[in-house]
Amino acid sequence: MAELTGSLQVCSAPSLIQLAEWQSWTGTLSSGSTRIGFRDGLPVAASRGDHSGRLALLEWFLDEDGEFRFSNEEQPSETRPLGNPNELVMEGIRVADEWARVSAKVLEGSLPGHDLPFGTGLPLWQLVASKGALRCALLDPVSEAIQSGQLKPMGDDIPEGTLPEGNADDLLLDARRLVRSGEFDRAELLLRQVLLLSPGHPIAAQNLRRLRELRTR
Amino acid sequence: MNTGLQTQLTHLLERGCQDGAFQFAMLFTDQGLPLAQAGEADDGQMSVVSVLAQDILGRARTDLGLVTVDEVTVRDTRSGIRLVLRPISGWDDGELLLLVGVPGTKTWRRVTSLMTRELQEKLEALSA
Repeated sequence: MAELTGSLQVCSAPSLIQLAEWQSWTGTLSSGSTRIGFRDGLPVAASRGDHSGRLALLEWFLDEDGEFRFSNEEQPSETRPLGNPNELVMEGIRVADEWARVSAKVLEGSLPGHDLPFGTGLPLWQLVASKGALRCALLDPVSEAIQSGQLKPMGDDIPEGTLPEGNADDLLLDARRLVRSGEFDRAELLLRQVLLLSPGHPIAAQNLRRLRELRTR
Repeated sequence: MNTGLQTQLTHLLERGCQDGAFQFAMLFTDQGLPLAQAGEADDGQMSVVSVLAQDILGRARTDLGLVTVDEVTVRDTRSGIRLVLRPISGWDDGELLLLVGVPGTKTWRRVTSLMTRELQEKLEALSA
């Protein structure tokens, strides 16, 4: 059995795709929730959670850290390549660059065909995470919507990892203070942020319900 | 900031529920916004009750001049449940409302007094 393990910080996704081609890997590479099947050096299958195929593979290019493990024990049944390795690498790098450009943006507006809650004051990366959507699948529609003015950046960028889940308490406190000062719109924004950070948060949901009652008075 | 405040308040309410054998305990702002809850309660109904009780408190103070009312109770004879509301001052220039559901013939004054005192101390520590 041949096996290779390592860290994506040391050996990135593009490097692994190229290495697989040079060494004609046949087997399965696992990295987090991503599994990629190789046959004769070509990627022939990819899955990531509920997603599969080329988009699941491209999504993996956005993973900057994590471990990977390749083994030739489990061989894919598929034979048709998901694409030319060089083209996949180029596409993966483009996707990663584009994601780095837009992920921190806080956007308002709408994106037809997608139910992302734009206008809630959360950055794109947080919206996508809350919906479990594939980042790479949203990149082109989001970029086009920004260019056409359908989506507009609002406020400062919020880089990935700067909205820890534990801040729900602080957001709730701020929201209640805003309700007291009559700033209902801003208060609702914060309450919706809490619900995105902690889906189903009972106190946030009750506060939002009460805020809506106060609005109708 | 006050990370963990809700957890602290929830623990305090849980302890009060246990000590007083209350069905539930909830803490609201005087605008009816919940801060924490413990036990079994219908969230929607409790929010309505808190607003109703706040109206009674407000009218007692402004219309009747009863400025130091520190408790309002409502009892349903069919279910036997008694709703007890205790105001707690010192919250962002307003007050908080502690609402507990007391079953049957249980007493509530001693435990709710202890709860309001502990909540008051917590609020004072936060604003210090």
